Amino acid sequence: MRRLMLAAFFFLPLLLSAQDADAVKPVAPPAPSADEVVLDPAPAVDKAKEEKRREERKREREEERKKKQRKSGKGKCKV
Amino acid sequence: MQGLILLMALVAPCLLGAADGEEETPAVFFGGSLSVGGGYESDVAGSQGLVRGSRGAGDLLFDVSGDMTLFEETTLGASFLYDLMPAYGGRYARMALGATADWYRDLGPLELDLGAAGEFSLVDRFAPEPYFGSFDGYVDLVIPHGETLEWMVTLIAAYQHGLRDDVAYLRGPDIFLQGAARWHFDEERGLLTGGYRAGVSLRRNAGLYDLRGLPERGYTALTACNEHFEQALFGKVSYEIGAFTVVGRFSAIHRYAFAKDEWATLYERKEKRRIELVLAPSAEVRFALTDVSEISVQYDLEYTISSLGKSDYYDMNGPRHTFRVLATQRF
Repeated sequence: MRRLMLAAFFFLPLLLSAQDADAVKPVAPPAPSADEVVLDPAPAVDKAKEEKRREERKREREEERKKKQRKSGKGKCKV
Repeated sequence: MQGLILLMALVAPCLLGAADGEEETPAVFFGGSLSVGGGYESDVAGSQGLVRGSRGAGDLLFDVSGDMTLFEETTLGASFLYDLMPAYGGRYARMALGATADWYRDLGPLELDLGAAGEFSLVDRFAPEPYFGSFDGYVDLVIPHGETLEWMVTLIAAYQHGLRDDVAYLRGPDIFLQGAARWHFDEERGLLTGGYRAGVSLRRNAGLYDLRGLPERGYTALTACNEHFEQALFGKVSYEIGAFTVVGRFSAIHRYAFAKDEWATLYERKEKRRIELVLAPSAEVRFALTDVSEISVQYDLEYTISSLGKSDYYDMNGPRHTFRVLATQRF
């Protein structure tokens, strides 16, 4: 019995993961009923654009910092 | 023991499944830039607290920075700037060392960016002396709105510490809250940004000897308030046309001092509150030589309209022009 349990411990995960690959099938979203109001979601920004925009913000922040750094003196706002 | 084995046999598939579902191990990225160039500033002396004297100067600039991005979310950076200004015997040549840290997280409907930076600067080409130490931290909240628009709310807290004797009074914090809208147009080739910022800047009062040249002109006392409320409207537009990127910026800054400046000569005593309006347009053209190198030409104008004028201890009114050409290589 102990050997059987030990075998199950080692092989069950593999069996289950192999089964999962076959068993998991995409499920179509349920169609809305006739009286259900479906709002169009706002179009999402794709990952590449999001990454580009993030880079742009990072670059802008860096530019602002460098601009301040390159400006000589203590600034006109300070007496 | 049997029970334990049975439990592990049941739990193991779940654990393995969870491990399979994880994303790939994120990489470590290195980046940075090197900029070399030069330019001209029309009001160097005025910005140094020299009340009178020749004002403009040219400079040569060397700027290098590098950063390391860990797990796509954390970025650590360092920078070094050497701004060689041969005029005035090189005593306004500056070196600045900086360190930055940034943490980013995409939270689905919004993005969060937290960061901090520290900087230490030295001044004087031949006998470098510590000049300023500063630190700032920010929290950015980016809220995408559809495909082309995003809202951005930023909280900035900063602290500046004057290290050399002549700027030792410039010590204190700033705190600002900023809101902006960003519109990406023409398939990401263009960006239009506009926003509003408000906050306070708190520094110690300046005295008679903090501004060079006042006692020589007959002033016997000065208490100048360096604590003020500040608000600004700002905008920026950039557009890519082939290898060229054209950038235009504009900001209108209003400052209102919390107390009146007081000063005296042998004959009179005066007081006046410092109120300033600064109009700052700027234009820049960048030309991309390759994907990682570019040449930029930039012109900045800062025009200050101040309540302190010719009849007061310091005339703050006037323009400040800055022109700069830079070659930048990114890596």
